[in-house]
Amino acid sequence: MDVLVYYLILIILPIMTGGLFLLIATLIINRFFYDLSKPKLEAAKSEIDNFLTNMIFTPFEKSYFKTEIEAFKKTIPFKKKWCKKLVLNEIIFLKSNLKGDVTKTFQFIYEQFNLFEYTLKLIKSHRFYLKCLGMYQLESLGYKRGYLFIVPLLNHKNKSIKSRAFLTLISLRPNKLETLIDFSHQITIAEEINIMDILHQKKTKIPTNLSQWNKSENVSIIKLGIKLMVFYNYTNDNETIIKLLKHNDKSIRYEAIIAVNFLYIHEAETALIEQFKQEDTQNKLEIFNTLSEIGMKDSEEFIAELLENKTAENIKLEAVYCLNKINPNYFDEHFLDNEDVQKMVKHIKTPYI
Amino acid sequence: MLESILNIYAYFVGIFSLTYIICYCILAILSYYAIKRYLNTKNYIPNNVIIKSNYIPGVSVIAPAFNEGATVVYNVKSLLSLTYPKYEVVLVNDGSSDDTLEKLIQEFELIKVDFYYQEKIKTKGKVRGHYKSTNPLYSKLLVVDKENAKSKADASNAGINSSKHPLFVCTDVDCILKNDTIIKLAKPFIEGKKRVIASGAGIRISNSCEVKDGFLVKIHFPKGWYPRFQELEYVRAFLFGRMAWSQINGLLLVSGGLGMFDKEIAVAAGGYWHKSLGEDMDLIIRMRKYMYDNKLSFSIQYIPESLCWTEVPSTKEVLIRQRVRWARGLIQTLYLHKNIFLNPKYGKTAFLIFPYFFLFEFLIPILELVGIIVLILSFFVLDLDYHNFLYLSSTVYLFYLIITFISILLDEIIYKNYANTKEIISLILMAIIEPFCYHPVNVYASLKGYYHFFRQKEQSWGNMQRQGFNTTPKQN
Repeated sequence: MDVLVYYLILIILPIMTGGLFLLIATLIINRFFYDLSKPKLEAAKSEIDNFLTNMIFTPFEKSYFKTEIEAFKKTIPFKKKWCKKLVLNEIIFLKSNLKGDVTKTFQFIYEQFNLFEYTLKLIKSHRFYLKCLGMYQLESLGYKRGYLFIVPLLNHKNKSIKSRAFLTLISLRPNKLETLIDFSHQITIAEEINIMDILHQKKTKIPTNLSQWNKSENVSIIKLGIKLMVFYNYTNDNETIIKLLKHNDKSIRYEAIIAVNFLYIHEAETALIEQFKQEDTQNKLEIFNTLSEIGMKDSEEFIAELLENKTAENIKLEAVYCLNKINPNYFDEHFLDNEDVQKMVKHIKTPYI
Repeated sequence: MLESILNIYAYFVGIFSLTYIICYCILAILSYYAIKRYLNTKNYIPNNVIIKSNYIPGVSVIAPAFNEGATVVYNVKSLLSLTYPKYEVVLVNDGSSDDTLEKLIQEFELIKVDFYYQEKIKTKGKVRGHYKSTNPLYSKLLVVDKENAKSKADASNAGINSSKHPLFVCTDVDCILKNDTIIKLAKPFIEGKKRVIASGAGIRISNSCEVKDGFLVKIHFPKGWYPRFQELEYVRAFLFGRMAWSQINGLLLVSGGLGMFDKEIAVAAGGYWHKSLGEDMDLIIRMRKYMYDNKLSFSIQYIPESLCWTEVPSTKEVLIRQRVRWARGLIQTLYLHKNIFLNPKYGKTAFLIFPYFFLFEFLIPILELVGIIVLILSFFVLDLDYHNFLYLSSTVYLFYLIITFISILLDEIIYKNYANTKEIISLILMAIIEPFCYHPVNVYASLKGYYHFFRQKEQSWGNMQRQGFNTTPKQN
């Protein structure tokens, strides 16, 4: 005990006390300087905002823009890193919030402020998140010159870098989606969402080899291929989608069911009914959803049978929804003595639910 | 004899304290990495991409309300204004004896509908009906009217049963959520490589904030003593403890005030237990158990951002009442799930998280009481070495201060939640006196909670007396 107390007095307590005072000082000084720099930061932000807005709404004239930007650089502390960051963020913000053909103007401003160099510094940094940030900047500005710096990162060992490089590349070269078929890594849901967003924004051309995507060994490429078919309303390959309803992978079957719905593939009705029993709840619910769009007499009989027999409670309501959508008069003559089904019918026919 | 017992006790306390300090140091490192990881990857899917996407899961926001007539309309409006493309608000009127339901009916033009209600989770209080608005503006709102069963958990279960989306957020109706709360809580579910079954985020104190019509206008540092102490507690708990546990997928608690859950797993786990006083912790434990039992890999994640502002007790009496309930909830939950302890089937929950909660959450107030008794005994019976006692106590005190200041610093560097240097200094001063003014109250409440548990005293919803908010003047 005495030894412990000895070390406490000699080493631990002084270190802790020192550390404590250091922490308190850091807390107060950090805040003090923040308060001090806040007005400067806000003023610069406001000036940058005004300048950029003026420039964007001024007809583009190269030499005039050059002179104005050079003059503006002198009015703000542009050499400071935080100021560069601020200008870049404002450019990205305006670019993402303005419609119309302003990409070239933004890219010109971006270059004149030497911000591409700043982005390249980020891309060449050793920190993964700075690399990702750099790529995000190129992606946001649609700055195609950055393409060459991204390609080597496609095979980076860090998954986040690889993923961001992949998305940036799609964004910068949206009309070269054909190459995706050779992609070996599993595309995550987050990447899928990002890709679909890029496609929505860029209004890209349909990949010429889209019908080959379903032959890929990469499950995520097949899923993305189905999503693209829906996105482009690609109805030349309906048979393939019907075949995919019986694919071994559950998530591919799920995408295929959704595709049948959106592409109105009526021929898939029988396949969907046959497949129903093998599916889990999520896919079953999606089948109901799809049958409610494309279903006819066969679906009507199939769902009526399901309701008569023992069916899991959690999907019954969806079944009633589906049947009602296929034939809105069906429940006027059927299941009148089934109290449970009648409750569900009331539920689905209530306009406010 | 007495002396040797006290010696053994002294060694026990020494080892215990050392373990506690080491645990906290490890938690600090873990927390740092968790926050860093979050900040480095938080822009992976930008919010605007989520808002526009058709491929995101739907979310039901469930808010039980009991006698909230004074503020319920504003609170619901606030919930209805959240940003997310696919969500509904399920407000559960838990048998309020005031005009909560009437106000809702009147303001939101509600009518009773033939809702097909499936009791996927059994509830004690009978569901009397469902209400939907005839005004398309409020089409996202569903009001569930049920009998009171003296349990918030029961009301939440009725909400879950009535919800239609695969994810649900559980919150208190008086909580003010940040506009992008659902987006941020849903992100881990979208980005996660493992199946994410729950996510949570930081909660802050709204006592002195300016609120207009249920919307947070300006954040202010709490004015009262007790809310200020709780501010410290919340910053420490969320940025320090929860983030650290999140880093090793060891979260045992996602706050009742704000949490998002995978409905399928929550229902399979049996939902909230209506008799529980720590229903949030109980649900997470049962969800974890379910995943282990079915050999499914999972993850529970925390976000180091304050997304929810809630009113906390501003008087000692109300605070004690709340903490008594929390302490009773803790012991009740640990007792109920005692079969997890050191059971190889439950992996780190059995060998790391549960022992931690037992030793460092449950046992601490008891040890503190024993410590005081020993101290008094030593004063009268033995020759206590006051110097050593002082050095040891100072070490523990300094350690506590360092941990608290690191939490405040992290919060300050990342979010700048406080208005000026004065508020920071005020928080520092509060931290210095907290162990002497506030902590004893907490220990007392915890011990009282344990006592109530053993005495099996009747439990209730926990009626929190609200002060209301500073409202900004209405503009004409």
